[in-house]
Amino acid sequence: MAAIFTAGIVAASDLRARLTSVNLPVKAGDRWGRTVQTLVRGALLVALVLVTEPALAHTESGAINSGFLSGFAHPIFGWDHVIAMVAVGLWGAFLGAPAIWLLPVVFPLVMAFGGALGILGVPIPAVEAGIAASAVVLGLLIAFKAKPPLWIAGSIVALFAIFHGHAHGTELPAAANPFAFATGFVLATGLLHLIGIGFGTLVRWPAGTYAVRAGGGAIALAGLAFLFGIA
Amino acid sequence: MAFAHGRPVPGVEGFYTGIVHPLSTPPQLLALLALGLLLGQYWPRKFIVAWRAFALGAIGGLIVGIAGYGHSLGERALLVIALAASLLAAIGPASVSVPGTMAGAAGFFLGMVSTPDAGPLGAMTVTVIGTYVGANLALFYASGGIGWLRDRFNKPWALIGLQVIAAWIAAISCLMLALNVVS
Repeated sequence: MAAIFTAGIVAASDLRARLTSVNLPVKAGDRWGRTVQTLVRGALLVALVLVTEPALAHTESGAINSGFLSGFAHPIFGWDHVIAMVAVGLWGAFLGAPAIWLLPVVFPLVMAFGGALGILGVPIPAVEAGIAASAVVLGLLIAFKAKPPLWIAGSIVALFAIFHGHAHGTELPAAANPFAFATGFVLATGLLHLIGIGFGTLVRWPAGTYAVRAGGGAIALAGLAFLFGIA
Repeated sequence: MAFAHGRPVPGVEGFYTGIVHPLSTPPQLLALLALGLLLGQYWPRKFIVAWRAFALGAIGGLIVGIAGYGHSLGERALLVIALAASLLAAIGPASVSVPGTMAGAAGFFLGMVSTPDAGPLGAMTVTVIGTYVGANLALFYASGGIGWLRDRFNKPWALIGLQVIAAWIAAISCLMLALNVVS
């Protein structure tokens, strides 16, 4: 028992050391930079916990586990969703405070509204095209370094969030455990935003700005590929 | 639970069952989490005002629930309260009267859906007392935990993190509410 306890302590110390070694290039006294760094470290820890396969003595993991995993995997294994979620975080970081946290708050809220419309059977035209268009528009806004007023940025993100939410919502009633599914996909969406924010903090340096804008261009191109059915 | 003697106090199992009853379904859990995030912003002084409203509401809800009214209505109402409370927690602090009213309503509907199945009066009474204690403890620890986090890590990242979590809970509540409506 003591050996297992000691091994656990060693593993925890090792994990802590690895997480604290994740250092974004943050200048001294940069409060927002340190905030983003802490959020990114937290996101990595949550992602590690979620993707780690537990050692189960019994293989029947149950509806809750399968519901959570399928919900968690839904945004991650849909590349059109992934690039749009990352783009939201990326653009938020590009716009700076308070957009850096406002957009990841607005997106899940409006996405859930879109999801509710999907569950209630309210049709929205061209959902898949809307999802692909979200990647194109957000990617272009990043590539061209667009910095509109906060309410316009929030409205653009909210508009596209409805399409993403609707796509999730139509699949929700069929899930084994809708609560676990909803929890999984909301968490996955938030983590993808944080990944985008983490990458977006590179804009503090000139070379990083080019990298982020190039990332925006790549997202827009990928969105075009989804829009025209190439990918 | 490992008892040193094989004869625990008669009916005590019902008390423990009652304690966890307010945490047994997603609407109950979401409402308590959302309310904890919201009332944690008012910890500790103004929280007491809202907690009183919750405690009084829970008594009313338990009486109505035992009388056999509105279980399905209670679950839907809890999801509405979870959505409203988490939205408020994500947006920012409001006057304490709004969260206080929400806490009273949450206590009422939480009590309504947390009543035990019909049985002997003594056993039911013990379980209902456990439910009442459990609901109040859950709100106390959820709000206290959030209040402690806000005091201990009074940094932008902590406050932003709590707002993001509140937005996630609002999103989950919204989806569960839609599912509740169609089911």
